[in-house]
Amino acid sequence: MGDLYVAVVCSSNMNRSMEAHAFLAKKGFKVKSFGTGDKVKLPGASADRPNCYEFGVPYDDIYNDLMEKDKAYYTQNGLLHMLDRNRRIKPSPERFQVSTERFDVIITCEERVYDQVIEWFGTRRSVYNQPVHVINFDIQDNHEEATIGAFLISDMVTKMAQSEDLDNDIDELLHDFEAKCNRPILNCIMFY
Amino acid sequence: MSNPSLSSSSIAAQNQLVTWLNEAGLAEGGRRAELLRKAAEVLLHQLPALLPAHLDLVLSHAADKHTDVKKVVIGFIEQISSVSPDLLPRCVALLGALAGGGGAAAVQKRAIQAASLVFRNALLWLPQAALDRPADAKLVWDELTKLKLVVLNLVDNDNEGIRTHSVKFLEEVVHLQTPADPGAAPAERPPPLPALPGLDRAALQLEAEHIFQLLVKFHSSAHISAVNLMACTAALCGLARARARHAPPAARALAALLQDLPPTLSQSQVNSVRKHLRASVAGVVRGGGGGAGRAGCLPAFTRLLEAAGAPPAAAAPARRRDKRRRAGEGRGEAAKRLRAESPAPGASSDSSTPPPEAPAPPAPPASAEQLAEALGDVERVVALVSSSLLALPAAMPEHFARDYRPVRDAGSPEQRLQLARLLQRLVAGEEEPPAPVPAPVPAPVPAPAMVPAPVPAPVPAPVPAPAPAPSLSELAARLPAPDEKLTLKNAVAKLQETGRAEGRLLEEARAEHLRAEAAAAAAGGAGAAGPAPPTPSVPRLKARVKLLQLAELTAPLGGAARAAAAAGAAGRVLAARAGGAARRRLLVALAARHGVLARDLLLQHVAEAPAQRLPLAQAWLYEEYALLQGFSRGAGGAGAGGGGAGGHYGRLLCSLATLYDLPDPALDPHREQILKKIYLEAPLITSEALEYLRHLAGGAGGGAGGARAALELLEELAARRPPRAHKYAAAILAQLLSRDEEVRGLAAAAARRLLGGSAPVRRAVLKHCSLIIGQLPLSHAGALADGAAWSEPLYLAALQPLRLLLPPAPELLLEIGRVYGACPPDCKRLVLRSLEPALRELAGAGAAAGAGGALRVLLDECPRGADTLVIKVLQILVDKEGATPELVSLARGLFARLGDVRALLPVLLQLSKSEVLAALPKLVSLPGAAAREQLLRLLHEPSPVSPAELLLALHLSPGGGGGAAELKPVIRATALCFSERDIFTAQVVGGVLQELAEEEPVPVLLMRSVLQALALHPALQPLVLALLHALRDKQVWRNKVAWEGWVKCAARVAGGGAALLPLPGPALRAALQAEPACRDQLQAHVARLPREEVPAAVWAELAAAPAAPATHPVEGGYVGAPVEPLPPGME
Repeated sequence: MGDLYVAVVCSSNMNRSMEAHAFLAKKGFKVKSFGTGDKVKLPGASADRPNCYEFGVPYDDIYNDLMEKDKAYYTQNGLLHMLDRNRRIKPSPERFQVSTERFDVIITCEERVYDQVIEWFGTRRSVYNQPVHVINFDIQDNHEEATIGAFLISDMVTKMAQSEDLDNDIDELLHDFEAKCNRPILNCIMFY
Repeated sequence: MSNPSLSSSSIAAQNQLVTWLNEAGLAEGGRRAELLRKAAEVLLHQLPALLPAHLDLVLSHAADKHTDVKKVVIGFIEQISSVSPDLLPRCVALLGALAGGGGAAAVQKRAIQAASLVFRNALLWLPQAALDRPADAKLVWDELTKLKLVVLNLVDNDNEGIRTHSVKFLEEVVHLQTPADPGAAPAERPPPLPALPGLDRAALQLEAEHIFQLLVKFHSSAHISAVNLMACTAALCGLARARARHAPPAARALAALLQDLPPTLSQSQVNSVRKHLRASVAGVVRGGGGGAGRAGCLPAFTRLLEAAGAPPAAAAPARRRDKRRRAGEGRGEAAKRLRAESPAPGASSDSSTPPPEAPAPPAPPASAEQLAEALGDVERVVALVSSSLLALPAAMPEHFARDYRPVRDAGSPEQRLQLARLLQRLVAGEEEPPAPVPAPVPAPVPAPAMVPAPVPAPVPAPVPAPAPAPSLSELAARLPAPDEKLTLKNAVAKLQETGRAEGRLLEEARAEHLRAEAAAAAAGGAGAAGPAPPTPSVPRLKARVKLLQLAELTAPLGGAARAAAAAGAAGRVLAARAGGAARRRLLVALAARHGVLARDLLLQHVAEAPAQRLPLAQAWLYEEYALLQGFSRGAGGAGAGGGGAGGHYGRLLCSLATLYDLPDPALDPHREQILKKIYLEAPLITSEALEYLRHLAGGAGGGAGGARAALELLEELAARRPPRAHKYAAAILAQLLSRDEEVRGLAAAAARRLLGGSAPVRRAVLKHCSLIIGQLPLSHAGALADGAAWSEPLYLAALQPLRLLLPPAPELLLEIGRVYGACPPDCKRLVLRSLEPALRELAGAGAAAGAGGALRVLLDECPRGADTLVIKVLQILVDKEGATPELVSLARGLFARLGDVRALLPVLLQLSKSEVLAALPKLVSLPGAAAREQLLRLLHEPSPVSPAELLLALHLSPGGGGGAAELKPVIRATALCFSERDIFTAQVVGGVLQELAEEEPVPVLLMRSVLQALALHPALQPLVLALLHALRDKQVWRNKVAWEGWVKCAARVAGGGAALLPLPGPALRAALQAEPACRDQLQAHVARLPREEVPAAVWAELAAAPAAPATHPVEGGYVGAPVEPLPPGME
């Protein structure tokens, strides 16, 4: 498994997956990030009024939009900072379900996202029979947890990349890693 | 190719393609894969017309060593199957070979992956091909059949990834070979099977059925890994959705899985598997269930979904479609939830480890009608009965035999309802049954059932009553098949192999114990305590994993107490002499597992009589090894060098090895044998043990005998344990520079043999030799000297191993050459002297062993400063092989590069005349006897240069070089020539002199040679005289050196006066002054002439008194004659 192709997936492709994307990319992995939600949702001025965008709307536009809405507020809650980081990584949030690429490993950041990924695989018939390992880490959707999560993900992906035969080692690798990081991990194998 | 309609862009692409393919042939590894990938891409998508032409070239890379290249080829075949299936006959066999493998697992996996697509595409292509090209179609189909067989066998592969891929492939095969259900959607229909001779559709369908059974079996095997289990689950669900015939067995298999997950899964794997199962089953249920719906199994899947813990919402759509379940949905749902959270079946034995979670909240009990309805489901009833079978007593109770009446209307709705009422009463706990037994209940069973084992009439016996006839066979199917037991055994064996033997056995013991308890409870008929504790199956598995902990089972003694007890026990067992193998096992177990005291005791016991007690010691060693492996796996930490058992194993091995040092005379005959046995039969040689052997080999422990034994042992170890052979080889090689000559010799001989071994060993030897070579330029001989002063013998001793190892390892030569260049002259001399025999041996070995090649490489490379060595090598090659044209051209190249004429010497006689003559100045300048030897060779052996030409060239050479420094060697050379009177006869010399005299300017040595010739061959006098005349006519007095010679010559040759007479005045005067004999010559000549013919000036000169020789230049360029030594042979 010379160069592992990794996808990191969260719900909005904003915080957790992007943090991990940045981290992995910095380490030189071949990585992409996605969201599985219907829309890109960001906290708004009140809990019942989130800011919603379509996938594909550039981070830059979202940044400017929030800036116009309430610069002080969104600076203070870190959203602008996050968007600023994101637009330096890639242009816009992407939705997992419309991606046509085939990955070796898909890492999800939340069980709900994991379910959506599995469900998506369930709705299509495999053509290439190329296996993909889907792995879930539960990461809370806040800045600190995203950082820790990215760290863990990078650690795990490094171990995977070091494995000579990932398909053969995955059970043991995940078992060891689970014991090490002390978080429950879900995993399964799907086919493209 | 030459299609004129090809556009320029396609020509460019074609050129690019050819370039890539060519480069791919030359490139290595990743680069080759990259180029090949690009070429394949272009071939497939841009220039498909060229595919047939280039196909074989691309496919030929399948034999490449590099995994990536092979994967590219497989991808190429995969694409061909869709882009240009007509080419399939040419590549499908290769795919089979790659899948069958022998190669890397990654390649096999990729091949299996491609196989699915190729299989499908081939099926699309075959019908048409069967009409157009029946032979090709048949071939492809046969290969595909073979491919299937290959992959089928891979399901049992050791590599989990290969298994995963195989499962997916087999799913595809089953899908393609099973006809679609009537009424299935077009998308679900497989491509039609082709009409080929010998192709039996029914057989194929049967084959698919078998494969499906295999998948089911694989799915239910106990040792399946989590990932494969999930892959298999998905495959079964996929097939269930696609084909009605597969839905019922798939549902059964999934239900069985849910009921009894493999014991090897960890907690989170269990979660993952359940979740995956849920998702897969939801996929079946979603959208009407496809094949499952057609087979009427949808309810079974819906129940599965619920049992797997899916939220009601997920199961709801399916339930809505299930008309039978429409009524009473609210209560039904509650009952289902109760089922979902009910205790897992088969786990009643785990009641000793209740889960920490709170039990499920009490749910409203199901109604008798619901239960009756549930009893209508064969699956459920079978599960219910089979699980209660376990609780049956071994013998039929008396009261049962007395009271039992066969049920007349078994299976009728009334009877079913009655049974349901009984069950409902049990569920509701309204009435304690007469003799309830807590029975394990499978997940899909309606409620935590209490099956009354001895039930009074009219309640029927569990087996015949509720289960209709066909369910019996299903029941039998559910019982573990013999081969399944076998797989379980395999799984246990596998576990033991991986070092978990202890834990596993414990677990089994515990399971047995609990089963026995349950059986006792059943037999006793004691009132069990209500419903089985609500132990969801997830915590149950967690508990099973926990079973591996020893501490749960035993109350451990304190460390010291345990050690003392063990030591005491060991002492007693030791004292008891009888017992044989059992005694040995006990001792070993005590020593290996229970503390230091027992260990010391046993070691002491072994040391008392090592020869006799060796088997015991070895058994102990194996036990320690088993523990070491177990701990290293269990704790994931303690390695061979660390603490715990790892350290014990290492220490024990060292202790046993050092028995060799025991100062016990009785041991002497067995010493080496024991050492050998211990090392050769130990499962693992630790680095410390190896260190001890190295120490012995150094002659430090047991003297020369010990060293010999240790070296032999090391060599044998290297031969027997190839993976670590390089380490043993290193230990042998360390003795190459031993101070002890015998050890050194032994080590060198062993090293020489090692060179014939495996590649890593050979590498190790070569590496060590490189170290020695690296030390050559040092002024002391490295490790051997231990800082001692440099001395010739020491240095030669250090060279000895090289001398021995060079012939079998010719590749060292180049390195020697490189280092040699940097050596000080002393070392160079010794190296050359020492290695010459080795070089000769190498040349003698010839090209067959690649030795000649190494020598030639050295000649080609010609390292800086290693001229002498290189020339030596050339000389040796010429000696061995004769001066072949190749060697001659090599010598020419060397000469051109080095400018050292010695390079030409070996092939001197094979050179062309011009080359010899060009090299002549340098040849004669060679030091010592070398020049003489070479000249003699040129003269006496068949040579490209005749003697006369040689002499001529010699005379002309100082003029060309133009230096006095070169004159002396040339003089020596001419002298040598003249001394060979047999060759340089008067005739030859005369010819040469004549030719020389015609040269302009006069060659420096001409007159010298004339004089010599005159002295040696008096017969040449007339010729000399003629020469003198000729030279005089050329105004020889203008050339100082020649003039002196001329004068001398004129004085000596008979009739010299005739030559003197015509000289102009000043010249004559100078001649007469320089050589008084000239005067006599002149006078004698003049006397014979009439007076008037003699010019007056001559008379005047003759009359003048002889004067002192002039020391100043005279007008007209005349230079006075200096004192010149006579030519050799004239004195």
